[in-house]
Amino acid sequence: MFRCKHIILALLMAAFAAGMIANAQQILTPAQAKGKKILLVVGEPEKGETNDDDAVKKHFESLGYVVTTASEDDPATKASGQDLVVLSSTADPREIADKYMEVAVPVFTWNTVDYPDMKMTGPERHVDFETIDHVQDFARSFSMLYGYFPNATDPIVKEFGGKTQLFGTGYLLPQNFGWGKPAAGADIIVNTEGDPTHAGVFTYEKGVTMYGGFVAPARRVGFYIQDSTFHYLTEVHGLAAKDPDMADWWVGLKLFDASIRWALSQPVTPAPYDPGATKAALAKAAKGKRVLFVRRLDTPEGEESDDHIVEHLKEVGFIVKEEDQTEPQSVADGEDFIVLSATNSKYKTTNKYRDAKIPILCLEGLMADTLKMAGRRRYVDYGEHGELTESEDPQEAYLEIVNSNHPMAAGLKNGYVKFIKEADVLKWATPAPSATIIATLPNSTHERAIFGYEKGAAMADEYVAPARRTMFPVDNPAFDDLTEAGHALFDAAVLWTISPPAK
Amino acid sequence: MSRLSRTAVSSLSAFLLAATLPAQTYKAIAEYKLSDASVKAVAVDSEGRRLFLAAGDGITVLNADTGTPAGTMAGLKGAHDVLLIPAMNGEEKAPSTKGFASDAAGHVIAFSLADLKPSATIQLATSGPVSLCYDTDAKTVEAVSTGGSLATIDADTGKVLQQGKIVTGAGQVVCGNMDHVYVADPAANVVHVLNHATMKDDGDYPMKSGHKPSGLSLDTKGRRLFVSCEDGTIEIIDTDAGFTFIELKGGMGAAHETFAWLPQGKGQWKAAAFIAQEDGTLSGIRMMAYINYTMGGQYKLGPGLGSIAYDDKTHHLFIASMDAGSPVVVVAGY
Repeated sequence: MFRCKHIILALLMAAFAAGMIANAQQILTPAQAKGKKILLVVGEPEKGETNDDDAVKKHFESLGYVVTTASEDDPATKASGQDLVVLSSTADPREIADKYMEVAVPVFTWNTVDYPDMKMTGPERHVDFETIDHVQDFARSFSMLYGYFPNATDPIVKEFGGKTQLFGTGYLLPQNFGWGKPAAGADIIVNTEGDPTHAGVFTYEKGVTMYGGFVAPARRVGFYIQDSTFHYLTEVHGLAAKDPDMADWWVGLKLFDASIRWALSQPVTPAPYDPGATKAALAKAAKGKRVLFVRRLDTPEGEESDDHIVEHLKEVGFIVKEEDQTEPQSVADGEDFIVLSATNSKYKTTNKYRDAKIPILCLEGLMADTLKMAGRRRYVDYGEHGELTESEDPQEAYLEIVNSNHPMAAGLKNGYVKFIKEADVLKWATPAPSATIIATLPNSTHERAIFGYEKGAAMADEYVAPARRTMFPVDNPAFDDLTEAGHALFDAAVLWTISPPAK
Repeated sequence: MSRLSRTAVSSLSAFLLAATLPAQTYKAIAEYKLSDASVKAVAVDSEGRRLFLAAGDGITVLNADTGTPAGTMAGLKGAHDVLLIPAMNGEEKAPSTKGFASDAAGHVIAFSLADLKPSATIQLATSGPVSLCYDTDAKTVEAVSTGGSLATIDADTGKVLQQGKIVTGAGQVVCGNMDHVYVADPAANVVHVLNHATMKDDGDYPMKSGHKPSGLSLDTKGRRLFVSCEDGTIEIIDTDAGFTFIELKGGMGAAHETFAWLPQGKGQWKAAAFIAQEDGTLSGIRMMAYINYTMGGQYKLGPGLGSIAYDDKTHHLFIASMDAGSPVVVVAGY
């Protein structure tokens, strides 16, 4: 029986580890992608107008894809048997509408006006999405020439060696573009116009929550080009291709190609919900690791909760050092991991630890700005949900999981999960778009409760994360109030934070 | 000189085009007939009013305004290219005094325009037709052999500064931008970017959608390379990125190009690349801005158009061609 238990545990840990590995999001190589079938949905050419649909088709074919063209009037059943559906902006967005929304085949679209029907953004033009016309919006069409990769560790950006920096989206001409503001579960690959919320390229993993609670049936990608701008996607040849700075600048076509291959690749498979396996996996990873637990010693409230967090960390194998909030940052020297308790006063903790080159798990949402995990506007960029005198919102016991595929979701399904036993104060922040959002507060999707930054991601003020950073709301004394799911989320958050970062 | 004869400009209707732009409708306005040797290359000394033609086994010189024979220079084995070194008198352009010619056997000859006497003869590292271009910044003549070599020649002394074997192509060559020599290679479907300072290949510009690039011209200020392909595609490349940002439809067949500022004088086109192609199409790519070029006009001349040169004194174009099987130089104007 003992042996059997060990085997089961080993299998569960292996499954969990597999989930972590799957999260690495392997992308098909160009050779592996050859032969994949693409359905290219296009519209009728406007009289006297040219578009790039044919150029796109030829480009796909040059890469070895098998392309079938469909018209905007064709039924969605044409997607059957295809590996990818590509929606061109030439297709009338009112005709295609939500036709491909529920298709269980990946969809790659630059039909910006169709984003809402695909549940990729909200419905309001100029608010949730926008198309920039190079005649009407001449000046803005130039600003759209500059895209920003907020997270070089994103698998798509990593695929072609992109960095957390600006790049040239299209050639130096006023052009038409599109952007969207995706839901919390999306990954923003490129933002534009200097506005982190204007996503030029964004993705939804299969199974994540899209706009309005819709769960992605397969991968989804939104891309910034329009009818006739594919041929302007930047590329570089000759001497400039040998200069790393110039080669990193003109990467529009590489980004397009990598995004297509990401969409064609196998989606991440989440590990099943199993708190025991999660805890066991954490114990394996934590064994012998040194953690600095920063807390307010002799605090009038939350002391017991902090003690229990420390006990838990010790139980899973960490070597825990406890220090008061007022101690200098040098107390972190030699440590592997930092946990910042919610008993800390942000005012007294100051700007410490934000530049620590080791991972940090922060349990205090109000520290989001000092740690560069969110902007500095209190109650706008971060806040407290349910605090009697600081919030008009009621106390809350639930979180809404929006990214069930991520290891930090602990295998929980998208939707509401009871996080603490009794409704209480929950902290939140609205992180930079490079963050991966795991859970939001119910009915307040901009109030993100659990989120993480990969090492190297651009956080607030473009501050590049020196190591992984995770926000996890455990207000004092809520650790003791965590439900089983809440504990699983805690363990999963710790595990992800101390796991090796994406390279 | 005897193999050339001048033909009066009388019946040129065969060369006329349908007008597309009233102010800039290019048409053949004269034709200089040659006796027997087809012209491989044309160069014009605008200030000195002479036309230099690489034809047969030498260089033929004509009066640029009348087509009257004005001299010859022998010593080549299948003349392939000719260029004149621009000269200045203070701020003003002056008649050229030096020229370079090349042949199909890997030779380059430096010569004086005063007496048409060779001053230096250079044998390239490889045999094969040699194309020439002048780098105004470096003041060097770059000689590119289709056999696969590049020689950098001091334009003043005629001495080889360096040379070596390197990948080349059979198309036109241009230079004058950042030590680069651009070589059209129809066989590889690329433009090679050679660096004459390092004698290395800095990389290739692949064609975006065109096939068989053969004609080239270069705007050294805007750093734009105009590439004409034999399949009718014209690609305009930003040489800083090697990126084709405009594609236009040209004529068909082997192409030759020339680039000119204010090709119709002030108030008209800012600049243009003129492309002459084998099927008789003369294309004028008009510069609207450094990022905006349009097809200013396309004009159907006689088939067999070859090398093209721009005369900034008269704003005329001199184009090697054939008329009823006989070699001619067509003078095109608007």
